[in-house]
Amino acid sequence: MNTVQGFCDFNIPSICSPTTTLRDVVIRAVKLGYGAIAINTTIEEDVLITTKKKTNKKGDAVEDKKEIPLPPKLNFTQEELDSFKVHGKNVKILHRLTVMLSDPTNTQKLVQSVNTKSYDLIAVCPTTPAAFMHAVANMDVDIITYHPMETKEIRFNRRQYHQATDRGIFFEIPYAFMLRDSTMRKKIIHMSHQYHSIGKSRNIIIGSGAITPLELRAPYDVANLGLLFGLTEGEARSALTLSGRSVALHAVTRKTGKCVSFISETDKLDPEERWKAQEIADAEERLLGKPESKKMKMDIDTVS
Amino acid sequence: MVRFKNRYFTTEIIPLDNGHDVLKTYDILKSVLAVTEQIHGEFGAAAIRNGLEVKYCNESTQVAIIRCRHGPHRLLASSLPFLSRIGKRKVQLQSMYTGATLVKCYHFLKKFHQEKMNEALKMCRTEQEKKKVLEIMSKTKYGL
Repeated sequence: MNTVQGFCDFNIPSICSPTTTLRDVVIRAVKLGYGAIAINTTIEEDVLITTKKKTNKKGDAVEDKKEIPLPPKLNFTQEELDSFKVHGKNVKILHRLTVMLSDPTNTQKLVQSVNTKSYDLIAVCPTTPAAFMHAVANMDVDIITYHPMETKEIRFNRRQYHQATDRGIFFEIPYAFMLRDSTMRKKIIHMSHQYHSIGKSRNIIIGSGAITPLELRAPYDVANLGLLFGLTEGEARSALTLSGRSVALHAVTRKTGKCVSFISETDKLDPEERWKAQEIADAEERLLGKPESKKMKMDIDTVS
Repeated sequence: MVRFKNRYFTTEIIPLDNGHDVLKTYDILKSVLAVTEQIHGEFGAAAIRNGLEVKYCNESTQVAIIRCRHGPHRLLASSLPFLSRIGKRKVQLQSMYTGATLVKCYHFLKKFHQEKMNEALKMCRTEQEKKKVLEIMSKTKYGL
């Protein structure tokens, strides 16, 4: 079972600035102390539209070109992998797909595509009010994010916000935009205040969206940024930790359907989760040797 | 039921020059935003933008009512005294009343104007002057 622990940063764009590589950004994030990272692939809406038209006319060959791209693969050397392990447990690296959406009619393709299933998280960035309404009410996504340049002014009411939060969708505030430009800063603060005033800052997650390693901030600094977003200290911290976990779990339930427990065979566990199988075996042994435990009790009694 | 709280600032706009430009609501909004950015920075400007609106603006009585969300309204209130320019006109803003509903603000305005009228009538010595004052008063536009 893929659970997430520690601080989360679910928005590291796969296309970073030309001076650095994605690997640098990821390593920097790990060094800052993030426990879970999601690499974000953003696709424009035309990917969804053009495929639809061309498949009708020609066939599979064209479709492959315009298909939703597969998540980027990262290969780390052994040293880097070791450095990941220094900070407690292994760092979880997830893959996230973000769709820029302006017209709500184009979402069918997203659901049908096979490649979508290879992503762990699915996010949507509505650029028009109509798209926002659709995303909030009907779309099966994990995160609704906000882009200060592309998005027009969106207004929503409490009912719509609750529709999303009831279904477990989280609203993301990307903070790296705030470091770049004054107008973007104002827009992001404005949007987050809207979340605060309308939805009481429920289901908020803070992501970075950093395209260079220097734009990343340490998790505790990010939690302090929460003051600007109208979050309390506790809310800001849970926006980085607990909310990240809920998003990851929501992503799993999207694939499996609603469930309360998850069963898997002990032979097929990940190497990091082998200890669970060991524990279970030990526990069984202990249960079988019941007399031993009684003796222990006797001993205690006699001593007392 | 959770209420969406607002604050309404009833302000008197006192012109300091003899310009003839009409006060536009949009100009008031823009200058309020600009002055808040001056005092409280980008955060202040972004914070008050949510729900900011000029609900009522009367040229002849020089009164405007500005709506703001409860919470960041304190940022707006603290920067209003520094407002010195609306559009091209030099003005001074004198806040008179801060209310939670528009109706309360209107009640206040009604009372305020009645007092002013009484004052004006007291000053009059002859009946003719009184008539003149009433005539001028009835000509002013009180419409919303």
